[in-house]
Amino acid sequence: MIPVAPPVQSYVQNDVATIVYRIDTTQSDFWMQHTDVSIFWTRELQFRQLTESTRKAKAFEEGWDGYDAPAPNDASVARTLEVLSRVRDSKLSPYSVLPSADGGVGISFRGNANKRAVLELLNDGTSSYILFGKGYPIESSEFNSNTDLPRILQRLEEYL
Amino acid sequence: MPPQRTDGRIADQTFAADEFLFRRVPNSHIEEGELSLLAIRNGFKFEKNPPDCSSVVRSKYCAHFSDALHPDCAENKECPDTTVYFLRVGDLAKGIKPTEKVPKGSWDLYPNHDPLPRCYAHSTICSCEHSALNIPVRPPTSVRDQFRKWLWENLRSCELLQSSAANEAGSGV
Repeated sequence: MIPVAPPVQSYVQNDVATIVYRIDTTQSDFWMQHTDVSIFWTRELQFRQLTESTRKAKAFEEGWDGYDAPAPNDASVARTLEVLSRVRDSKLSPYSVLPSADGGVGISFRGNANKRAVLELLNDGTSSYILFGKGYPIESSEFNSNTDLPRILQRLEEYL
Repeated sequence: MPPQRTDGRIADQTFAADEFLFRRVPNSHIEEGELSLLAIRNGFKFEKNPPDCSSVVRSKYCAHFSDALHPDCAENKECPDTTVYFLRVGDLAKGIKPTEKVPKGSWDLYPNHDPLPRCYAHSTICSCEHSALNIPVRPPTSVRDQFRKWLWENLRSCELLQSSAANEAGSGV
């Protein structure tokens, strides 16, 4: 079911941070009466922001890390957008999207007790996941983003 | 003051355990004070040729950690929106074992002094087998992963060095 849309004025802002601010400050009554709707739209806004971060990753030039990290290419950005849309259908909430020093784009997750996870979509077409955290052993593997993603997202859900 | 130039000096491969190695980190990859793993290359460029390994600047020949940001030590580039992080030589990861059944053995990180004409402090961090000290090799995949996580856990912002120095100065008053 598609939740009831919030008041129209929430959408007229272009800046995501401004939208959140307006939701919190001017329409609190609406959101307090529609908690499930609030969660839905908060997640919507979060994924819009992550999508924007993915597109902006293309603006990072070679050497962006202060050394010789490659810039993300169009293919890695496109694959990240596809993976993000699949993550959106899961229970996972990504923390950020950033270029990877290996060349490509990474989606970061933060979980309980300092657990962390990263999905990397690299320029050379490879994809990998990494589960790690302070005091935890590292788990990582390459995967096929076309066929293995449901299994990998489930593993991330279990871990985080 | 610009970084020390090499001026004909040879490399000095003696590193004290309490010496620092400085590395640039883009501010974009510091999230709520935490370094993103994505800022650290998988494998950290562990190459067989030490000058091709990942660059750092050693404190022994630095006036200040900000030497790492000077164009002479940064491939002639300006480094806006960059923070300098550090590692301590004595803390570098040692005896990391692969999770694969083959190969056997364990791997270490070690510093290698690799002076550049206009940056005598320039060095690299290399990897070697524990049983063959300072002979650079590319470690197996699972060891590279563990080194990457180790770097993520152990790279610290030089702001910590500044604040501890300020505290020491304050306690001496």
